[in-house]
Amino acid sequence: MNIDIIINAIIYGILIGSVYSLVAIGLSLIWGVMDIVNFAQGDYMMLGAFITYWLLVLLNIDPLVSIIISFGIIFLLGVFTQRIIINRILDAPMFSQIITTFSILMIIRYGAEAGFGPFTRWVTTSYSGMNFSIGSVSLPLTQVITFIISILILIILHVFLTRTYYGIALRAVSQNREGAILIGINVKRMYELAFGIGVGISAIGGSLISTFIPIYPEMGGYYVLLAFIAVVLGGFGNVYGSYISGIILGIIQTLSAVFILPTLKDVVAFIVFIILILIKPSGLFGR
Amino acid sequence: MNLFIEKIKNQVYKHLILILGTILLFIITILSWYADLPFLANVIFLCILYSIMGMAWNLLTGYGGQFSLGHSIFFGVGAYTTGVLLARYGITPWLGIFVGAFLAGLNGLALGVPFFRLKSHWFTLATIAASTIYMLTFTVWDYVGGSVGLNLPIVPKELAFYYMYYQGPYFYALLALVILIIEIIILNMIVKSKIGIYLTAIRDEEEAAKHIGINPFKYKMIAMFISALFTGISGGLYAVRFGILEPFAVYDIITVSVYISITGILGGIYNFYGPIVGAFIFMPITEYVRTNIVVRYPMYYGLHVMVVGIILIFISLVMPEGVLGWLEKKGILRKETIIAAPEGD
Amino acid sequence: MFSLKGVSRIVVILTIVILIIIAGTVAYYYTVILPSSSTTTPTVTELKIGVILPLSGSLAETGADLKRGVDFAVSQINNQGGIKSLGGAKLVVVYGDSASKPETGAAEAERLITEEKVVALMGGYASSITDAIARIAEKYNVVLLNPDSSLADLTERGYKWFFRTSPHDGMFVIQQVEFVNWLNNQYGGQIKNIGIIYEDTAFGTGTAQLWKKYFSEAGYNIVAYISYHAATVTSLTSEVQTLKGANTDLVLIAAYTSDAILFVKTCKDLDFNPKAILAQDAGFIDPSYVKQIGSLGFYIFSREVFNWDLLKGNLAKLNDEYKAKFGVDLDGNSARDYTGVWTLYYAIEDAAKKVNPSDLTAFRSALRDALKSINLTPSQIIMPWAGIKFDEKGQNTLARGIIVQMMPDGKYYTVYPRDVATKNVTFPMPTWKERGAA
Repeated sequence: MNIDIIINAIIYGILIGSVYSLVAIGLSLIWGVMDIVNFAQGDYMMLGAFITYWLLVLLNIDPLVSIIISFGIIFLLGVFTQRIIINRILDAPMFSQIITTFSILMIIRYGAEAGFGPFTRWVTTSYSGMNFSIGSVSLPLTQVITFIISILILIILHVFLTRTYYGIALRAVSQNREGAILIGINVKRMYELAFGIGVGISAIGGSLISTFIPIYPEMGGYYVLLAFIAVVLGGFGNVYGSYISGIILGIIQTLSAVFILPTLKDVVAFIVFIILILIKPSGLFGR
Repeated sequence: MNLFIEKIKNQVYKHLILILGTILLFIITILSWYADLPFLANVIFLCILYSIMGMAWNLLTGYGGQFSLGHSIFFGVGAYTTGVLLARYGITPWLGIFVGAFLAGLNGLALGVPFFRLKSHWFTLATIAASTIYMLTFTVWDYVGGSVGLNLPIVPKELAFYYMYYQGPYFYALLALVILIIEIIILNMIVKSKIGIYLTAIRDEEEAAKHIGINPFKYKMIAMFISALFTGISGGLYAVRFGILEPFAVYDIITVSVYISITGILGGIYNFYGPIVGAFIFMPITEYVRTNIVVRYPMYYGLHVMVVGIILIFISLVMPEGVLGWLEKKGILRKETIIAAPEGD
Repeated sequence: MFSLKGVSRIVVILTIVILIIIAGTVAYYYTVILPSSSTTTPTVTELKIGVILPLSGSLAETGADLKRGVDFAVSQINNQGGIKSLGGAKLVVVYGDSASKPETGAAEAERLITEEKVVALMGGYASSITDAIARIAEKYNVVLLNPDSSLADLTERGYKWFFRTSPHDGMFVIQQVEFVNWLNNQYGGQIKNIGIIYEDTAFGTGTAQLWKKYFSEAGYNIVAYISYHAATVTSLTSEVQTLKGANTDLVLIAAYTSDAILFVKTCKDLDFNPKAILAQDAGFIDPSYVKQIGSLGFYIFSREVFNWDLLKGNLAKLNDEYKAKFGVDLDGNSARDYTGVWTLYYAIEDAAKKVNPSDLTAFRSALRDALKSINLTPSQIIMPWAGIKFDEKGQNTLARGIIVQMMPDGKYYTVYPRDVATKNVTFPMPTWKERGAA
């Protein structure tokens, strides 16, 4: 086992982890602000991927441009979901909430499968196969771009959360709902915003990942599970923690593949997950 | 003597619908066997199978208050145990299914130890993660066939009984019906007993229950064991009916764990017979959509699950207490649950 | 138990009794009235066979390809007069969609047998699905003609109703060892380290085991042995990394379409340059793969069963017809299913002379007997085989494979065995940088 392989693994882990981070940020935001565990998070990601695909195939729009459109559409879809469905179950018993997000999952995932067809699709562009080497590491261009964009998103989100009225209001609601109502924040609108942004960012993750992996309607299930691990690792409600945890999770995966067996790389992640839940559910970075 | 007959008469009247329903189901299955209607019998089989699992699951969830989405674990353990015992050691499923159920129960206990200290959605998340781990582990475990899975042996007609190897779903549907009846009787006894009452007390106010000397952990473990046991039996039935076991199919989160919870949620988790009603509503619908639309138009694969999702959204928005719960609320059914459902969570 | 408020017990009992009466009447109708109304033996105007393919799911593209082969064969058969022993009855295919999953395939098999009452089954491509279908066929005493699954074990299960026209992986792997030995002879022994990567269902796992066995025996080093799950795989980065790190000279890969594309793309992304890649058919020869992979697929070898460049004379016209109708050439998958339908057809002609299809059980049995004694000559089939004749395990022993390589025009050419080859091999595979491919 030489050091080269390990360095390679870490770098690829960071690159793929940035996608997990995007899904995790969305999940964390929704969880923190609304106290809703959105099991359908991965499926909004899948929708984002398919929007990018259709925009490319039908209108020849470059994937990197399409992430903005993807975010926009899914943001609106998120707001719609919150208004029509989520809003009604905010105070319902927990199992009811879980089942509701699961049914959204089923409608989106299998509706997409029935609508788009259960096939695997590739998003191929002129720069799809490009890569550049740094030392012994060959870096695919699309994955590097994904990583860079994910950092940009994090920065934008940070600015939004700290310097805009809506962002600060969101944080207020997540910390103290009654207090937020008292100072006049329209909580219902904050919920819509949180849910919309949450699934919108996830969709960006989907759009980005579509540039380097094959996409299919049922892909969301895998990513939402990983996002859960990242969120628990990073502290739910803590957006920055979730981002870093997504990266860490990517590295855990690739290193597990190197040191154990590629087929078991997920088992390690899930075992870590269970241990975390049992010991310190507030995550590495707390709330 | 007269008193005895009176008692029997009372019991019969009380459970009239149940008894007549069972007889009806029994007759329909036998007739479908005779008339060669495999689709109908298969739907009945699936309904009964999910009823068994739903009732078992509800003991933990509706009565115990622990929302599990990991019951595919017990299903899988039961199925694989039955399969391995038969395929590798030639042990008849008549025995194997119960061994499988017992092993499933043990797995339940093993999982209960770390998981029962978790509350609400943490518990659910842990069950989902655990079932994924089971699936991945079985994928690389060569003893149970790994990712390729396990095939149950094919036998000539003379050995059919020993191997539970019958054409069509008829035999299995009848067997499942018998098991369902037994399960109902056992669960009814448990629910009306001290265990059932303590469980609902724990579900509603765990701290208060502790203060009056009830050990929550002990009773949750009992519920978990029974729950896993019957789910394991269902796994065994599945194994002999379909003859092929694959980790991806058997441990699937949606088609096993979530479907099981749907039977309860749809029917009403705070009603004893909720899961049965739920199973008999949603299974036929999804099977009907699948065999009439999806099979004809493979392009629309997935439609049958989407339909289930739509039904679920409707239920969770309009009648979260489930069909039976809603009927009770409207006064059409008299309330029969021992203790009323809690007001919100 | 719930009790209905305000509804008297009498009403409840009455309702259920009425339901029982209705059920009884329906059953009586179905079991007594219906069967006796068809006492006359109708003349058969069409004969149904059931074909189970992965029409949806991860193998859907190959499923579409296979369907083309089947449809083409059926239209040819019906155009030249249908089933002559039955006075020109039409051959009809009832399709079942296995959705790329064994349990769905099995359910479809049951449906086709019990409800559609087909006389025989054909299918299911992926060996794991075929295995599940074969079980059902065995249970119901119906022939399963398998034209396209290569798992060697399928003919070792002791099935009595299973017939396979295509060669199996044991036969293929032995030929592949020969091929690699020959490559080493020609090019100075450059292949020493072999990396095996395979999809983890029955097909890939079975192939990988055979590869390991035969190539180790032939003296090669197996430096990697990696599996992945085709239906859900979205990244092969770690896997290709492992291959790269082990200094792999030759990659042996058993993959379906989507993962084949992913693998090749990942090789390029990570700049992994083995001396050769030898694939085990399946995804690598799917026209959908060929179309999508473009220049990335050049110089990759694959085991094949059939290639368009082997068609000469009359058969070349056949490919032209096929191409005109469907827009793609015949390939190993579509050609095998085409051959499968024809094999069933010959057996049906034979069986129909002896038994009338209206006696379903007897006819299904006669079909099996017909297949057991079938002996097709090379002129009756389009495959480059010595014919079709099944041994006592149901395996066609006269079949064999070929090795093809994709040339820079994007098409596969036959390169081995040398007596049927149409082009020379290119070895070793030019590196990604050498190819300058963007």
